[in-house]
Amino acid sequence: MKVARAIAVAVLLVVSLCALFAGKLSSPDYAFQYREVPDAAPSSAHLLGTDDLGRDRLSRTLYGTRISLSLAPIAALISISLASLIGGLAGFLGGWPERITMAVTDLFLCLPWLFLLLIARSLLPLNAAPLTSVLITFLTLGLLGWAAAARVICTEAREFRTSDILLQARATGQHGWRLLTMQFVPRLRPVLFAQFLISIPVFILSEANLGILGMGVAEPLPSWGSSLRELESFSSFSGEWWKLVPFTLLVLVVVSFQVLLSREEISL
Amino acid sequence: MRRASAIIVLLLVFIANAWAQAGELRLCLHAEPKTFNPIQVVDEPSETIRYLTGGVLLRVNRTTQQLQPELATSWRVSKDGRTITFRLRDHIYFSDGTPFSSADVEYTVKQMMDPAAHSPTGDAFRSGPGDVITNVISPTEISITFPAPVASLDRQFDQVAIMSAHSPKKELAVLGPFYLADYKPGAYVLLNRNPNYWKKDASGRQLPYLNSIRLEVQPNRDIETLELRRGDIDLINSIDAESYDKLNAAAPQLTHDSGQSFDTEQMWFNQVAKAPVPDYKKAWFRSTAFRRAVSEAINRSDLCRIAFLGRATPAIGPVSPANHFWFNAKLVPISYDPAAALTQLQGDGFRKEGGTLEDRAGNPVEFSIVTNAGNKYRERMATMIQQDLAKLGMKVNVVPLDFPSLIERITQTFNYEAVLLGLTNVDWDPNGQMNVWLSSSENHQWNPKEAAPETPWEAQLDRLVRAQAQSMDPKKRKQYFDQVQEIVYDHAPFIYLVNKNALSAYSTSLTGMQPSVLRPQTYWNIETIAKR
Amino acid sequence: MNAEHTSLLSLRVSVDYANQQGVLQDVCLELKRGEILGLVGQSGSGKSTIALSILRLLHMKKGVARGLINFSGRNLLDLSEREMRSLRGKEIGLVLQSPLSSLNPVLSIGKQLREAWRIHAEGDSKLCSDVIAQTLSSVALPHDKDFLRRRVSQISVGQAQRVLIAMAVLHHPSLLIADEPTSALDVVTQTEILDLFRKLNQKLGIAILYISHDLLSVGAICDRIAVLVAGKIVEELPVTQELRTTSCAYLQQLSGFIRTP
Repeated sequence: MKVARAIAVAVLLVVSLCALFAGKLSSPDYAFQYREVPDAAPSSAHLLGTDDLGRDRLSRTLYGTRISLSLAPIAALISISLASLIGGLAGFLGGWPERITMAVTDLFLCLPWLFLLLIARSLLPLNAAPLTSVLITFLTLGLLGWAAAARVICTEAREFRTSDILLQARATGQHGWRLLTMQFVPRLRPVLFAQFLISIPVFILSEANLGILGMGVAEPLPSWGSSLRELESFSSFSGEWWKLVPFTLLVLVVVSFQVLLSREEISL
Repeated sequence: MRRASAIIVLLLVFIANAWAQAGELRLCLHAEPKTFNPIQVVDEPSETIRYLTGGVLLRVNRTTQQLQPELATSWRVSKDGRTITFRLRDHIYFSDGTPFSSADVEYTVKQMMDPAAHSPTGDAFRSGPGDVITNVISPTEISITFPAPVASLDRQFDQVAIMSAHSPKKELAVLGPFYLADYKPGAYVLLNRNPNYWKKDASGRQLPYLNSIRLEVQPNRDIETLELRRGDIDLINSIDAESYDKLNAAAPQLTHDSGQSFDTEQMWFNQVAKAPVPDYKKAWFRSTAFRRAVSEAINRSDLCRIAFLGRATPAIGPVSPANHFWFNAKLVPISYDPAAALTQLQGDGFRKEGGTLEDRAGNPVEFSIVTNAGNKYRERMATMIQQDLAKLGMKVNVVPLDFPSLIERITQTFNYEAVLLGLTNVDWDPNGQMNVWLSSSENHQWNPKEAAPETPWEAQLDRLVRAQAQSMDPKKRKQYFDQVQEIVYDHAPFIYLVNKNALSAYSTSLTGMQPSVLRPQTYWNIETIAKR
Repeated sequence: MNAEHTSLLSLRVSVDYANQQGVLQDVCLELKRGEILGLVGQSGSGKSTIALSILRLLHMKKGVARGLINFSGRNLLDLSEREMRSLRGKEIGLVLQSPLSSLNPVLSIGKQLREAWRIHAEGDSKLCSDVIAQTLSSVALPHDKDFLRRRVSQISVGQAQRVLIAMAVLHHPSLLIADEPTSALDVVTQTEILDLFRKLNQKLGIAILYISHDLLSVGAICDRIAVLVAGKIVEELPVTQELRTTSCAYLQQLSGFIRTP
């Protein structure tokens, strides 16, 4: 387990460093279309070949990693903050605030998201710069992704509300804000951390799905999502292994997160 | 002895099966057919069945693009373009044995033009208010008079499958090469050879050569391609560039590129006066020099080569050069010349500062191109245009949108700047595009429903389009429409990008194939196609 | 004031829960200063409800208490929540049954003790550390940094129960309510904890309301026993030395009695 954890940390570290120094490791222009060599196999000029428009795959993969790997955690942070605020408060207060909040959460979970996202997209300005639009995309994901986590956190908070810990704490005279920050928040922290780690890969994949709706990362900016969409028509028999690099990277990162995550749960 | 006869019977069954197999053409429908009634056809699967089963008076030869006689031996259109007179073949029988006569043509036309029937086929003939008048001169002669002139009246009859006035089987009694034998919803449609089909080949053998056609309902295009490779189906009428490319790499003997089709991919700028777009941007979009510069800065051959994997041809205008008669041959392909484009922009008050193009007032030129999300060819083209226009210093944002909200933007709210879309051209006669060019029309997409033409060239377009519609003289009409093409070429309200190639794939066991760019590309001559 | 004979707590309460009426019906209890009163009864008889009523924490279990709870001359039921808060942990300490589920698993022991201290005490961290060290040694626990840094999962159940007791007596309350404090422990640890209670009672003069269903342990340390059956006090008697020595037989009898409705 310790070895697995070390490997996971190493993978995340190497991937992050590669993303950080994307410009140094590959051609700095991820968007330039080398139109003479579209969809090319790896060569000395393009170590991972080029995509269908002749853009350097290595460079796009690294810059895409940078975008996905830096923004997905931010989105996760947003959604977990919302979830802990909503779920935590509801669970802690109990009674009708909890019932109402959980009803809203259930409603939120079964809303036709596709439809709402389309409406959301139509409200966005068309002329957003690619970077703005990718920020908006992840922000939207963060703002919408709280419901499932809120349920988990609410359950946890409810447990705390009825626990002897709270009874004991109150019997020593603790109360109010101090009780919340001293006893409740630390008690929730492992759950919050677990939920945070779970949401990162979820958001990375959601971004890929949003791209199909025209809501993902805008051209010419690369992301893991856009790289994954290319695999829709991928045939494993074609022997074009280099097209699988972003996918492999994604799997590696997600698995690494999972390894760290399971480790955290054990320490609970 | 008994045993021997059993073997013989088995052998016969086997031979019969093999023979039936050999004579059965298999292909895919991409959806459930909505109707078997020929006058109600709107969708492609129904259209396919109508084409294969329906007997028509006149047929457009998809190779020569000329009209040829079918059930009519000769025909005549009156000078005013309202009346058409047919002389019909004698001794023709429907698939159920009912004899065919001019009464059936009368019945079909009446049915089709009946306002209560809401026939989409009839819409093409409904050029003005009033009733259609049919005059049965003899069992083999009929004249039909429409209330107002109909453009290319005779060609429209390519779509009219004649129904029987008397047959108890109603519209299921047909005059075409095949009749509907079996239909399992969700699974297949089986068409059998029409034993009463009138046509014979040069050697006097009765057509069609095929015994039956099995149309499998299969919405998934990838599975369709796989089935062709496995030999489960015999042909794919129309295939997209990427699948074509893959199939071509794996089994080149199956693929056929018939070259430039009538379909266009184009881009246009929003010129709607009340659109929620900043005024200075509207000024760019309404500037002919700006639009022409954009047009010239787009590398169309790269679009064809990269976005369509070489399976497209640079477009010139609204009429594809593949349309031999109507294309204005004086128009030359639009040259890719960023330098000339920049000069043109500078003449219009734009200047390039650093890497950014600015207008007279110093506004940096930035706009968005919307296109429908999920169409990778359009997304690729838009991304390539983004890089092409960056050379002029224009900043382009590519925004893929889902189709309904895209359509809402370009037809209702006009909240867009530029759009990249395609047009499927089924009409050989450009009269069908009339509603695109008339400035008062809803389909005048760059600026719909103008109260009065807002520019002199739009006024000129209105005049020309009306003139060609009123004239019945094909030569005159051609002259008018040539001018329409020239104006569109000069003012670029639509920036035509590419004509996709007509791509198809079919088994090598089929003979008599003459793939064409016109629908239905591969089986338009179904009666003379045979399967080895 | 003679502490030996003054009444510390005298109550007469009835309690209803939202889903159960008459959990306590006019229960009378009297506890003198420095006395150990055993409250015995089967589970479900309302023993813990009395503890929560005294601490005015019944609302956490959706209960309402009516009547009179006289503590040091004040009716607790008349106090404001604010006044009540200044009593909890300072004047009245509580020790719950299961130390493992009563201590916060993600906080260090030191942190929880410091938190319990600073609620009722001003003063620097030096004083705080001294008091904690002193209290820990009075419950026979180590008070080095390493121990204080541990979490509840890193110490034994007996140690955890001592931590809980230390937390409850940190401010030298005049009343300690121990709700089944030994039932989660093994026999040897039980004896140790009982000794500890007795020591705290003798050294600090803390009155203890000792709630338990275990008659043997109650008999071992209590001055008097009150028996609660189905929300009513059915027997109240002093535990004499004689009773203690013959306790076995008597208590057997009493348990038989308790089982009779």
